Amino acid sequence: MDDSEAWSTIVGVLKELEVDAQKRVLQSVQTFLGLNGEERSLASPSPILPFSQAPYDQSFSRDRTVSPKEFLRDKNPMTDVERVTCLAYYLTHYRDTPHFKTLEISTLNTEAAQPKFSNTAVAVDNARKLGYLVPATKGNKQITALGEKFVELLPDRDAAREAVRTFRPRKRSKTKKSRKE
Amino acid sequence: MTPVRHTPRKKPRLALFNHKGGVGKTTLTVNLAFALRDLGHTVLLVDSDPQCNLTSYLVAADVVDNWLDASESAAGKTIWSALRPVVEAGKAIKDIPPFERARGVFLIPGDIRLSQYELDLQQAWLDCLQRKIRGFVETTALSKLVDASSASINADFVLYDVGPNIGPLNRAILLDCDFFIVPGACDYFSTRALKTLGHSVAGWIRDWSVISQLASTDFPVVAGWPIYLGYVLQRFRMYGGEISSSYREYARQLDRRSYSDVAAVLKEIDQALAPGSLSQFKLGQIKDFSTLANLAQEQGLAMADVNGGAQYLRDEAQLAFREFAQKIIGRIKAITK
Repeated sequence: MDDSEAWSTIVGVLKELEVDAQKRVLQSVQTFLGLNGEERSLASPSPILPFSQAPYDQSFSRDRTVSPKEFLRDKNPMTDVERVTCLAYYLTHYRDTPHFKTLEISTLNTEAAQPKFSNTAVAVDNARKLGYLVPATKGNKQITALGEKFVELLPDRDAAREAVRTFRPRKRSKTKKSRKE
Repeated sequence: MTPVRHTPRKKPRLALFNHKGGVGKTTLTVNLAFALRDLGHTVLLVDSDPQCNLTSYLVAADVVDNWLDASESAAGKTIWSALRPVVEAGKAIKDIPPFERARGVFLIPGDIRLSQYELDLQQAWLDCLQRKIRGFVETTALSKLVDASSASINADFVLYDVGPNIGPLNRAILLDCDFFIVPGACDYFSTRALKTLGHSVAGWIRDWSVISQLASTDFPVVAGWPIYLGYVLQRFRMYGGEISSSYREYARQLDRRSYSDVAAVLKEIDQALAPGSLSQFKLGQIKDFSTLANLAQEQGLAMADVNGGAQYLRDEAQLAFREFAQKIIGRIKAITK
């Protein structure tokens, strides 16, 4: 559906209503879709907050999520493989992108103001070999449970390495084995 | 007006605060107190929740009932007994000795009538804005009571147990604290609650920075500088040594939101209100010890000390709370050095 179709559908439906009802529905839809920009600015602060000179932004909707730069600074990856895995984690859990291409890792790396990878594809492939990434559909990659655990334990490198050392991948079910046999 | 930085007390006051109910604040407070005691510290617990859950946890039900019956008498021993002269007559706080619950663990018992103090605090806040001395006296009364009680036992740590709300009482308590910790459960509402929590605390700090300037210079007011120490993950189950998959995403959300909804909001006022980077705000994770928690509440003990339950669970509980206590001590040291 394009804009003009939506417009004519809305107008067609609203024409059936009284003027008051039309206004109510429009206001309600605006609020529901979060299009009522005025509402946010008109909302008065809590009565116990009587000061207008706010030294900070009181907006609830403002995105204060940690940036990729801060994320990498906190996790402090030491190698290209570790950095790729951290970026993959960020894409998955902060950007809602569980499946990604090497290019997206590279772009996020630039956004995070990190030094360029000498060869991103090789770094991604090395992360795959270590079990931090696995292939997904359509040539994409995705982070593994091991990769997630590794990143979550960083910057505690000892704990992260220990987790990798003791990680045991889920065994194949007997049914599958017997089928092969 | 930008709030003025304050240095935390050498013997810090902490609140385990989350206005979302049922996250395990009281159980965590008791077990943290015993863990700190086991590390050689003296702890004063302040039951500042009118529901008196902390007092009911640590003291037999009939004793609690007797204390509540007598709280308005001359022999009153509860928190209300101490605050009542201030609230009702504008007099000085009544001195009540803290109840020694165990070696190194003391308690100021709670009282349902503390809700009366909370009602007055709302008016007291407005009185402060009008520079009425009574407003400042009432707003800081609980802090002064804790000053006297903690000094009398030479407490190393004061732990406030607070009710699950964003009311005037919790505002007064948070403004008196040097640090606060957010217990978070692995559920949807807990993750959502962090946003309103962060904004509320930020609003209180900002308001108090203005209000405290209105007090006369010879009247000592609370610092109003609660530093966000971090969060502790609770109410989840383990499977194969890992947080089970149904809780894992909430655990990750709490990790993200603890930073974006609490730390980042406070950092906008001053970096010193939430010192540290993303990974430093996770203070620990306390899994659901199920039967141990119930036994601990029935017996009035820390989970590690209960009679009953599996030994391995008691050992795990002891280790988890000790690590949590050590992390808190370490982080406070790092911040205050």
